Amino acid sequence: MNRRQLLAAGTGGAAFAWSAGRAPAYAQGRTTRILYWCWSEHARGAQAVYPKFREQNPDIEVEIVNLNPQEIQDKILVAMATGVGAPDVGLIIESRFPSYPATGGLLDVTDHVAPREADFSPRLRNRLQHRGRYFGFPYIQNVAVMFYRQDYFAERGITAPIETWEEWVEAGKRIRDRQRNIYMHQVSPGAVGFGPLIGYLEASGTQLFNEEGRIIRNNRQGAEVLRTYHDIVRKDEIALLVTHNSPEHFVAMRTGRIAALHSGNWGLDRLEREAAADAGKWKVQFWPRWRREGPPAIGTWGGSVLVLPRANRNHAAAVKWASFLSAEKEAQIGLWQNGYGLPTSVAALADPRMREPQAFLGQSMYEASVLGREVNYLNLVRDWPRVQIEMGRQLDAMFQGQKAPEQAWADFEAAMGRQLG
Amino acid sequence: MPRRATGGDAPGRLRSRPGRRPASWRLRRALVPYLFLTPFFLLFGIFWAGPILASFAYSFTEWRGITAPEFVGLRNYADLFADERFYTALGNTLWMAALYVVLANLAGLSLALLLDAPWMPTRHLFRTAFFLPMTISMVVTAVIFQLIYAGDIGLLAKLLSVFGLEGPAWLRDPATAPLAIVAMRVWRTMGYYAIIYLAGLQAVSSDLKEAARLDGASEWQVIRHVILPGLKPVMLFCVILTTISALEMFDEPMVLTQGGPGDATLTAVMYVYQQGFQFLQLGYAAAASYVLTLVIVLISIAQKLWLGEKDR
Repeated sequence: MNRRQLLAAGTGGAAFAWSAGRAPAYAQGRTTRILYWCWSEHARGAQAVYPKFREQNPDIEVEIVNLNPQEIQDKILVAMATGVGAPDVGLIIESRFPSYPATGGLLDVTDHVAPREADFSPRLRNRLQHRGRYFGFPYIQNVAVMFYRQDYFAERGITAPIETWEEWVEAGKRIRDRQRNIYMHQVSPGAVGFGPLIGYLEASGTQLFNEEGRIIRNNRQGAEVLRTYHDIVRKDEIALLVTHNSPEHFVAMRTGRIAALHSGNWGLDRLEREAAADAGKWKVQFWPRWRREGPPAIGTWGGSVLVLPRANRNHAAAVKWASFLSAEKEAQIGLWQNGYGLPTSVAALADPRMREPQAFLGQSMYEASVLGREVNYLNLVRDWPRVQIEMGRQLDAMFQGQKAPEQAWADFEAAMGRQLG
Repeated sequence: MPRRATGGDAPGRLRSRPGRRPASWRLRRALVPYLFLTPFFLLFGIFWAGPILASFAYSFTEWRGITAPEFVGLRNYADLFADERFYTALGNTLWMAALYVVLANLAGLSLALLLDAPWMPTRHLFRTAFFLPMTISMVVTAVIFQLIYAGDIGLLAKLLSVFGLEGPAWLRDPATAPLAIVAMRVWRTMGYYAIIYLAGLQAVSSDLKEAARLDGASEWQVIRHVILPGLKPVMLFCVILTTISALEMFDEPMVLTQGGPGDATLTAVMYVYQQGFQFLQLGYAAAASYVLTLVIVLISIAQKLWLGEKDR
């Protein structure tokens, strides 16, 4: 046997060994393997409901990859633009979703979503559609809520739930009066601060853009909300100014430096990890009403959508996984129980398990913070990152005292007018 | 002798062989070196030259990803030069880079001199220790520095409070946030540059140093008049390296401040990233990256001319 023959035989043998015995099951055609990108609490939720999915679909394996949420948004966008590297199913922050269908890189899932339109909110019918077709699966919604330290409130004679923002500010002053190094809650500067601000804007019924995606000019209500956001930090001094989800914020939670946490429902997951020793001390209530005379309306803290990049080949398996997470009642309940993602499925919301208490709180988060409240939503525009970054700049200038909140709002409107038309 | 004659004939036979071989054999033999070089040129073409040329072409288009690029001429460049955020980003980059280049080289050189000093005990241990920050993940470093810089619970704030001082909110104050980022970057990289300077120090003649000392030069005079002139090529290399890396600054501000507060730490590369990957204006981002590349090239040429001239 000469050198060439030896080389050919060796290569052939190795290839045979790989294909026959070493290749994983999915590579041999027995199962389809798909990739799912999501983040922290969603990864945990997906892991929890995955066995149920496998029971129903033994021929599909899902690799659940836990990534940074902001990183996922940008990575999927780039992967779709370039046509390579996208997951089979990806989780998208709802406010970022309008950027995606316009790239042409998402799979049209109308045939799978339209038949169950009655099972999710009309808001999502508008948000997930692009030119009359669905390009995303409803997944979870995030209602803005207020977690609070029951022990701090009790020591200062504060009765929860606190109904209005006015009362909330007064309660905050009592917290501060008793102990200056404890704040009522925390507020973020910069682009990160825009996420929490959305909760305030929506709860007050404010819109930034009209239905056509045009910035609303001379928006007094918007400026009023920004004034409140400013005043709770700079005038009333009840809120601690630190970046949301920064180590400083976590330390504040852990050391009892804040008496409350404004967050989406998923904030409970954060509390369980950062303030485990304070289980039972933390409770939850609805987001305070903007005005006493108004409806008991609350806002959101995002919400997420499942998308399927078109460039991948495992469409059938990806649709099954996304449909399972989106439409299967057991999955939606499982996501709530394991990651506190509020179901988008009406059937899941009506399930008695939604009213079960959470061990850390000793109360039902759904009953205490969501049930019976009207949820307001902002109109989204395609270039949402621009909105986020521009508002972040204005928040920074405002908190640094470079401009009044009203001026910051006017500058925001002007910048959006220039950038988005 | 007969063996020598045979050996002497052999080259002659070899030289005459090609003449007898067919043309196809000669062609194949001539092509072989190029065949071995092909993988490099293929990879270079696909992953370097191709994207560079393609992005230059894209800089004249409006392109949002999958949809076909639309030729817009010089509009992206015109928009870029009309955008005040681009100038802010470029200005931030330039002054942060200038500060970083000075501090990183001073720190690296000082550290190298210290680690080269014969009186320094366990210097081999320190050489490794100072290099370690380079091996730590950027995200881990950022979390550590977030805790160092954090408001009144941070390490810096605690240290200042010992002296009865109240520090600023390092990462939220536009005056201190860029400095905080530069300081973190200097801490991360000074060990790396110290190693390069240390290698350069080994090449400085010990005879010259010894002669200077015998002539009565102080240690500072030895450094100033013997070591530093001998280190000039290494200094040029380190200055250019630190400049290029500083002009590409992205990780630190992205993780620590996301470009804020306001746009105080928005760097040119962050600006390109925002435009390209967040706003999906890929043509515009390509134009911005070309302008940035041009700035880097011009600065590198200026440094080379300036330091090279002084060297002559």
